[in-house]
Amino acid sequence: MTLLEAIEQAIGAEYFNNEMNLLSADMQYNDILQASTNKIVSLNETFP
Amino acid sequence: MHKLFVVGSGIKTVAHITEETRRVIQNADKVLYLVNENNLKRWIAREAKDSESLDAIYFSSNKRIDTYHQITTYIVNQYKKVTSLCVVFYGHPTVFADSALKAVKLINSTGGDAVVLPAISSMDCLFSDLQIDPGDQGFFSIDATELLIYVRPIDARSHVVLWQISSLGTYDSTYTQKVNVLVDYLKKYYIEDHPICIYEAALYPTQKPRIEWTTLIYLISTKISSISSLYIPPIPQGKISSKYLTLLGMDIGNFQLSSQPDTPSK
Repeated sequence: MTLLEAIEQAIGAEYFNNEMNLLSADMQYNDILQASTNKIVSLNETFP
Repeated sequence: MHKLFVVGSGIKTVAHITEETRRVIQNADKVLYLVNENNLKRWIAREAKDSESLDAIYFSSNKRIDTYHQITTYIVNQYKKVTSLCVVFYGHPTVFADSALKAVKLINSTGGDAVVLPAISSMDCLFSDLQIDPGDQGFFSIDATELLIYVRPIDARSHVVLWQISSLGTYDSTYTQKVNVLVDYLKKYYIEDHPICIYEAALYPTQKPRIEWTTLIYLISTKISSISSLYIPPIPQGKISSKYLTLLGMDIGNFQLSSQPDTPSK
C-alpha cells in the first residue's frame, strides 16, 4: 500500500475511535506520515 | 471556447477535496497545480488526464511579485491552449494566492470564461477546531506584518486572527525575531493576561491540529512555525446603542445579544 492509499483509507478515521486504534497500530503509516509532515514546507515560507 | 477552473485542495491532504473539485480535476483537459504536499501531487497526477506542477515557476525567482506575475501569465497562456484548464492551489485558491485570482479577472475582463470554486481554507479549519462563530461579535483577520506596517486598528470586541506570524518583518525564509514588536502592538488593545492561541490545522487524516493556548505576554516564548496562525478571542461586547435601536425600529427585548466570552477587557 502506498502512503497515498493509506492516507485515502485514513480519511475520517480520527472521528471514529475503533478505526483510529487500528491505524495507530500501523506503525508504518504513522512513521511515514511523520516523515512527510516533517517535509511540509509552507509555500509562503519561501516568499513570506 | 475555453474555460478556466481555479480550485483549492483544502488543508488536510486529499481529505478536504470537495466532490465538485474532484470532478473538475478529473474532467479538465489539463490540470496545473501548486501544492505543498507530495501525496497530494501524486493524487492530482493520478486523477487528472494531464497535469503539470507550477513548482518550477514558483521557485524560479527570488522576488515574490515576479513569481506571481509569471504564474498568472502561464495560466492565461495555458488557458488559450486547451478547452478546459483547471488550476489547483493548496487550501482555498483565493486565500493568500492572488496569482490565480488575477488570471481569473484578466480572462473574464477580456470576454473569457473563468470561475473560482470554493474550498476549505485554514480559516475554516480554525473556526471548526476552536469552535468559534465569526458571526458572534464579528471577525477581523490580517497578515501580521500588514497589521503593523499600516498601523491597522484592531476591534478587540471581534474575533481576531493574524496570519503568517512566523514571517513577521522578514523578506526571506528566515523566521521572525520580532514577535516582541507584535506583542507591544497588541498590548495597546489587550491586557497582558489576555488569552491567545497558536493554531495550526491538521495536515493529514488522523492527525490533530495544534491548539496551544497561552497569554499575550507569553507569545514571545511560544513556538511559532511557518503554518502558525494567532487567534485572539474577543473582549466582552459593548453596550447596545439606543440611538441606532430607535433608528432601526428595533425592540431591545427582541434583540438577541451576542454571548459574552469570559475574557477580561483592557
